[in-house]
Amino acid sequence: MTIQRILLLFPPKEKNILRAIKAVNEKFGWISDEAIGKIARYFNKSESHIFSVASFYDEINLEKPAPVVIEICDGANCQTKSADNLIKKIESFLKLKVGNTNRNFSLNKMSCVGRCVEGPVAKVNGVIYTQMTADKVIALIQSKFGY
Amino acid sequence: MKILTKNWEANQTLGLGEYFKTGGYQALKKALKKMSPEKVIKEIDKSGLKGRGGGGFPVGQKWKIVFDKKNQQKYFICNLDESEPGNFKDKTLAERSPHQILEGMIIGAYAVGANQAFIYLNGTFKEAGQELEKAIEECYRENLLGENILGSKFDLNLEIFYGAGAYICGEESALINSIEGKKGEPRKKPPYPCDWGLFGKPTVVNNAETLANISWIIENGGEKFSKIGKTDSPGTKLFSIDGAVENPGLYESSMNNTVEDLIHLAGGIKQGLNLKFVQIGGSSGRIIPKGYLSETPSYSPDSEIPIGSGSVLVFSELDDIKKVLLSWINFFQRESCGKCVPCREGTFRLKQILERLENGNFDENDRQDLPKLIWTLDNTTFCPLGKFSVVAIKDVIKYRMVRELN
Repeated sequence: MTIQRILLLFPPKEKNILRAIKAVNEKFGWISDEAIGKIARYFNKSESHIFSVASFYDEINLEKPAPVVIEICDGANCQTKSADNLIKKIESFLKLKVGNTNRNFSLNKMSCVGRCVEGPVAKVNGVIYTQMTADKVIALIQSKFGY
Repeated sequence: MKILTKNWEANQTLGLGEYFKTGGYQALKKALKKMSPEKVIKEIDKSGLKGRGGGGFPVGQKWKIVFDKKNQQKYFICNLDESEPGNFKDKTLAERSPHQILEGMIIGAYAVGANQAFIYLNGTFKEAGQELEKAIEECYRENLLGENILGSKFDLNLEIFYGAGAYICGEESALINSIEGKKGEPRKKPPYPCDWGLFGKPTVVNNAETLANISWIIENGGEKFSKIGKTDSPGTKLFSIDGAVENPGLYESSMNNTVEDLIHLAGGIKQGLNLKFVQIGGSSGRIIPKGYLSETPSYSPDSEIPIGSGSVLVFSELDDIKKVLLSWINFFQRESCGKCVPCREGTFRLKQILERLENGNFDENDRQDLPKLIWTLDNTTFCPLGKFSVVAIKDVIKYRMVRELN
């Protein structure tokens, strides 16, 4: 589906701006400069307005994401379940510091998603996984993504 | 006493059929057929119901303000952004009993005279979204939404608006900006949303748990509700209890519980562990050390411990307070929207100091800067996020929990 086709699903009203940005982000994985231009023209807004909105929200990517995006909750609840240890172990396995991206992986901290009781919680390419251990994360990226 | 969870079966969602069987939508029928909007608002006012998102503003008063704005477009919004760390009450409500929230919204929209309603749903709550979408579809099919609801002259259109990952969008004016297709930054208040809300129109924003109480109040009367639990914070409350307890999870209880009672609700302290301190109300909540467990959290303005959104996190000797401090400030620094300098820079500097505290490099300069930084965040930020970011660390200093800080 092209950007234009996605936009046509949303009548050009202000309440649909974030919805359209989310839909384009979901389809392509990120919002390119070209997409910002098209969204801006469709909603009759400036490109800077659309850029400001798209850059504000965590879910919207303004750069093409790595093939595997790993996010670990570091909220206080997950911290009581040793989230910091989990992060350290994944950092050393991927040889990647949290907050950074390489050719294959992106490793980040994320905010609470309300699954505290089942923590520590991780998100891999948008899918939430609970009661995570470093071994489980590693097994997941090996089996699912072949790394 | 249970109002919100009384019909919950183990891990099942109450679909429309089951919800009808438990008396669902009888309150809406009663409101539409036998009660004027004024009468509905009067009942809610009498009930003493206060907003369950954390603010504790009286719901009846809020509705009255919007009701009084005549002859104009009005909006009704359910706040289901719930992104305070450690809270999972609204999410669970939406997953288990979506119609209870919808019924409260429809009654509320009828009372204030709004024909357009939104649920602002946290973008990560996929299951809750599916249940709510299904429930909304069922409502349209059964004429509980749409035109001439249940044969009355009342029309209501209701749609879900998915957030896109921003803690601050749980703040009502930021949430409104977000729906308007803007950055989710908070607005200056006043004017409050009741006067100048979505697209500049009078708007009610109520928390999902608040709305789930409405049908019970309409059916049983405001007076009966006002007698449940504490008189200044009547009704029941959902508590998200987690950490070093035997049975972490969601519990409903009236609001005369002490901190100790709340721990007992979840089966007491986990065997083999010792309680160190408790935090009530998420990452922006107060710290309650061991010696203060007989305090009662409440919505009352003179309460030592605000009940907030009702999360309870129990810490044991296994938890390193310096790591927890870092977890709190990491959260606020990441979620600071960047609109005002004291919050954007303040949370950043505070994070640097707490990182140094954690890795043993906290020095004399940090000791001198810390109180100034805390004061600035506490007093000069545009919205309450700055204030929230230092609640816990102020308590950590007050109760002398970290040697270097005192």
